Amino acid sequence: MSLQIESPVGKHTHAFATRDLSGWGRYPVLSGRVCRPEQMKAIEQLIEQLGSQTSLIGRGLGRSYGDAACNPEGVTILTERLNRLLAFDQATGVLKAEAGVSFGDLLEIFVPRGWMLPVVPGTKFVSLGGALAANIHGKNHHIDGSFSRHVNSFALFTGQENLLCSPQSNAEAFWATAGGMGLTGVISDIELRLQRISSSYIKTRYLPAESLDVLMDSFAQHEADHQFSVAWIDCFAAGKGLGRGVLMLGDFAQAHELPQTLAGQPLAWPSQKTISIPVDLPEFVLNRLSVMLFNELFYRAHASSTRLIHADKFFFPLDSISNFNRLYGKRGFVQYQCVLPPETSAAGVRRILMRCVKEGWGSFLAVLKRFGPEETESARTLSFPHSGYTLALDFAVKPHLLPFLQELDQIVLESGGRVYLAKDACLPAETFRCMYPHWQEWKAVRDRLDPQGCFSTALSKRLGLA
Amino acid sequence: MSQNVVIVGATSSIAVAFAREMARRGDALHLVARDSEEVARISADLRTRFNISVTSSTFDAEDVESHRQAFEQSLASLGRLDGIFYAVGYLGDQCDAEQQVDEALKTINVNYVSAVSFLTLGAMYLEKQKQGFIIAVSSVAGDRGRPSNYIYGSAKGAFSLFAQGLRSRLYKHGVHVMTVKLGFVDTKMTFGKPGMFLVAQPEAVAQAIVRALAAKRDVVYVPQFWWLIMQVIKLIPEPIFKRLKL
Repeated sequence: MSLQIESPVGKHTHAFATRDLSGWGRYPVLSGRVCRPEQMKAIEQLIEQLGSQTSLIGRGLGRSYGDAACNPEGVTILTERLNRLLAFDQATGVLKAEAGVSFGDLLEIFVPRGWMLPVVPGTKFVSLGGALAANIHGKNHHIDGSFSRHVNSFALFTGQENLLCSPQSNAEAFWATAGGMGLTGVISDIELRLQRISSSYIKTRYLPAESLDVLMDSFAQHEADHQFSVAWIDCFAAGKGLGRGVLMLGDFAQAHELPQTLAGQPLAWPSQKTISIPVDLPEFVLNRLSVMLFNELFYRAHASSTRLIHADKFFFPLDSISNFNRLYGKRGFVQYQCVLPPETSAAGVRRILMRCVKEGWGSFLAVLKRFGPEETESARTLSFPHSGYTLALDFAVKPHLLPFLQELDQIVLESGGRVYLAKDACLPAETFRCMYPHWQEWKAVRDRLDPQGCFSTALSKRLGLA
Repeated sequence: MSQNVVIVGATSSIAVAFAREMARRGDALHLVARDSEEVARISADLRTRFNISVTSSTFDAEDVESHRQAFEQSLASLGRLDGIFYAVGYLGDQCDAEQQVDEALKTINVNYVSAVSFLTLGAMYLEKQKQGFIIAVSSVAGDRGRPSNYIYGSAKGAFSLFAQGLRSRLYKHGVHVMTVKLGFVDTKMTFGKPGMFLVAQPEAVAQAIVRALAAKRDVVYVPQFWWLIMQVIKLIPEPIFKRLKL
């Protein structure tokens, strides 16, 4: 299917294809039209020509979990071919690149030159634009904040113009776009500051904790001394052991701290090789017993110890299996990630874990992390990070999942917390409005940037933001 | 050893992937294409990713007058020239090309006439230098005329024949001419088109071309299985072939 478009720059043909779109959770799967521009101009033309008739959304590498980058009623713009690096200053670490470039590409290029991305999520297969649109956080949030803190500026195709946004100019648009789930427009170029490193290895410390209280104490006691911290939780442990887990603390090793065998190539970075799971595994593979067994082994394997781990393994342990989402079976899975404020998080996390144990909704991956403070500007937007504890749980899609998640929503609401829209596939509009009480202020900015309402997604429609 | 290579039609995704492969090896590149803004972005990308020297000039494939200037600018920028990668292509719309003489001629001009024009300049230079290579990026569509794309196919077929003759002429002078016959590649030319199968990624195509160049292949189908497909298609007797919907 193609469409001829006459524009001032000349005649351009935009080709469209119909594809099944979903996020990393493969739930929901929505069929929609996609196009894949290879030139920046093409995005501008698409918005100009189609924006008034049909809704649009930019999509990076599709690693949000739910329906955030799916636009079944309109056109989803795949930005993967807009991945050019535009400038890099080796002295300051300032990089300018197109939003479609992947973290994997950037790490492969810049780690050997002694520069690290300032914030990375649990996978390197995300795009720069996606990282900004979700305002991602990493294991260093308590020290370095979220992604937007490291962004100097970006160019945004709003419904009307190409706007250069930074905390200094068009600041409103800057903050509404960071965490704005792509709904303020299509991000074209991003300028960000990388962080200096002298080795690509992380000095990693494991501290097992036999209960949630011990784990949270451990966070409070140690995390200020380490750039990276995250905890894995055993979701099946009940009673006294509820919330038992392992706290992982890390810091980049200095080149001179490396053992002789690694010192020759302190900044080594592996080229991207993965193995893959060829089929959807039957749903019984990740059952109660296998996950419990895995958890028990994991807990025992990480007795209090210190190790030197390559950054690729430290940050992206699951990337070596290219489609580990198939583990959850063909119906897909939902990741439920929430953040609770400091004063309610101990009780709130405990309540959530107790619900999981009681209802038998064990999560294969359960991750706890303490967030540091956020910029005041991002408090009145859709940006997720907030000071307090964040908990992430994976659930295979099965009957009765939805009512269970709504129970969890209730606990999160009562604790004054919110769920992460980049992971979300189920949140009802009313609950969203309570969790993000400033949504109307964000929407007012969005409506000014995009008065025609060019940009929407299945997520924005579900949340009543379309 | 690093080489100086001119890439013509540099904004196509196959040319970009090829440029990245060559840049990875440390080659100095000169990009030639019509869209100066895009060429600037691609040049910046190659410089930033690979720390190599990249220069560029713009030309219009249809305007053969602009070719000499673009070629001379390439030479001036690179100093010496080791190879030319020629990847200008225009698929257009077969239905339009059947009904409109202008569209048919445009398809011929962009895919064939411009190639003859630019590569004649390049061939004279390399012939004198007595070393170097030319990569002519053609298409399996040039192997047999089919109702679905015979205008494009005829231009690519002519281009393949031109490259074949050029290969024999330049062989004596130490210059290697390689014809690349592409099957379906995942580019904007094929995106969303019905009937696509076994579509190759531009990165894989570029790697295959670089390998074939190192092996000094004369004619190479990329991906390779297209050789087999095209042998079968060429073997079908014309009385039967003309009745097929291909």
